[in-house]
Amino acid sequence: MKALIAATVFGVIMMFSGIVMHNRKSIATLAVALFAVLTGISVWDLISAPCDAPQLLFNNMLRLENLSLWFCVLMTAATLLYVMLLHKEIENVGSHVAEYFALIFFILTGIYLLATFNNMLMLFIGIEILSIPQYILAGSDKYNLKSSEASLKYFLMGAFSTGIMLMGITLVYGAAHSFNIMDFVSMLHSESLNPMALAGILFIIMAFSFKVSAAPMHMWTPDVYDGAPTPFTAFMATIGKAAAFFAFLRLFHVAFANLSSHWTTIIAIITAATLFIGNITAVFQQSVKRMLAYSSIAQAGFMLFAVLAVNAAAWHGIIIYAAAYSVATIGLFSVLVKLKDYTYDGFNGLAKKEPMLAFSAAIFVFSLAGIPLTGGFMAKYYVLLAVMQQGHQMWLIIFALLMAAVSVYYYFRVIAAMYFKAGDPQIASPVTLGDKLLLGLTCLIVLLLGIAPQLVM
Amino acid sequence: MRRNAIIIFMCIELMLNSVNLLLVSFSRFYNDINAQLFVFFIMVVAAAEVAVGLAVIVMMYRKVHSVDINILNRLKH
Repeated sequence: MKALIAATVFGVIMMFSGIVMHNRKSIATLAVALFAVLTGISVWDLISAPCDAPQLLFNNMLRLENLSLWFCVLMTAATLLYVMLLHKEIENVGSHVAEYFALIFFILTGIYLLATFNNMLMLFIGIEILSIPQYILAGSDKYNLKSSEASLKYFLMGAFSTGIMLMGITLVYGAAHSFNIMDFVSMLHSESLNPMALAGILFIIMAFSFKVSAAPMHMWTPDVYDGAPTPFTAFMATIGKAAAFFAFLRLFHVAFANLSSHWTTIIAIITAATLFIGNITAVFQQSVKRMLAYSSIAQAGFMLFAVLAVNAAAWHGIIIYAAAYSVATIGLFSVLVKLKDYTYDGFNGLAKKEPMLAFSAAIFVFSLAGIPLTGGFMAKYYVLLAVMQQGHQMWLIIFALLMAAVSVYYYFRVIAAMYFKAGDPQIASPVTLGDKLLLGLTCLIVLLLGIAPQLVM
Repeated sequence: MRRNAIIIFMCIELMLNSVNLLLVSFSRFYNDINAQLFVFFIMVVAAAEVAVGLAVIVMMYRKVHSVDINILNRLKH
């Protein structure tokens, strides 16, 4: 697991670069270079892993399977794409540019732990390393009251959910006498389940549904995503969320798989509520940034399908969903930050003024809505297929398809504003040739995921 | 109703401490040292959270001169 160590070291290097370097541009260039190196290192991790048996590292604390290493590669590559697309905006958030990049490196460290944990201790540490930098990033625009509020709100709720998760872990430990998730499989049996373990699992579901912003615990999401500086919202809504989902899946499909009869009903209810609340509330939003916050709740509903289906197809589902959703949302946010006005009206007439921005935004919106030939369609297809193979909860699939139809309305309002309405959109920062090329590349990735999804599976 | 952010924060710390106590008693009960190790990690992470949390609360206080969370409904509209 060289990438884990490299991400930590790079984070520290970034922090020191803030002392040595004073030019924001060169700090960002260094960051992009280090992210590229990190992507290379995580690919190297994947290639050098033995294909057959999973490796155990650090006294059985981490277990590396090819799938988790592949997820690490995808997340690192998505972060690289994110930094390349949005580094100009990150530079302009506040005066501590080097620290923002350092925090993103530390978040990646947390993501690596979450993708490979084999012990509840590593799950807890991973979740915290993922969350604490996000609280700081949410409040990084120090002179903006909304940003501070978002940070405080996120922090208080996040710390609360950490407490709930710890209680869950402790209760499960009380029943299983071990923190190792492999021991859970042998110690916890469906027929004679200790009520303590059941309570623990319930607590853990609650805490995870907070981290992935699923329905009963989604209240913080719109406020935090709306208040946080836009480039960091893009990160929290995509890569941070996808990593939490992977950990959710890993815990429930490895450790609690043979108890699935006890928790699938709860997850099914959470899924239905998440899809309903996310999609219906998104319809009434006037700001695209806030709409994207609700749409991220709605997309979390679809990702919950992968948790619901305890089979091999669910793993492929979550990986392709994480990739397709992250790339499309990062792309859409990178278009959003170019505009001054974040309401739908701010997009009016964008197609005339910046055809490349409008075209790529249209592709990303198609992907999020799940139109065929884009990654979003394949992602939705694979997660629903996983539940279909399971054979029950057919009502939920039909409900999800209905909700996907609702989502088309609010996603297509963006396209309608760009292509069919007249207006003069205010551009916040000039769109350079490099931006256009990167957006084109992102569009290509989205389309490629739709045509050949087996590339990421 | 007055709701102080620092009091809320203190209550969250109390939640963590209850988990710590439970872990220590499980550790004694099962004669397993791992649970006590977990307690140390919770303490370390709680300390990190305090560092970030108090900084965020101070940042908030500098702007609105209050730590009452009822002011926080500016984002809800």
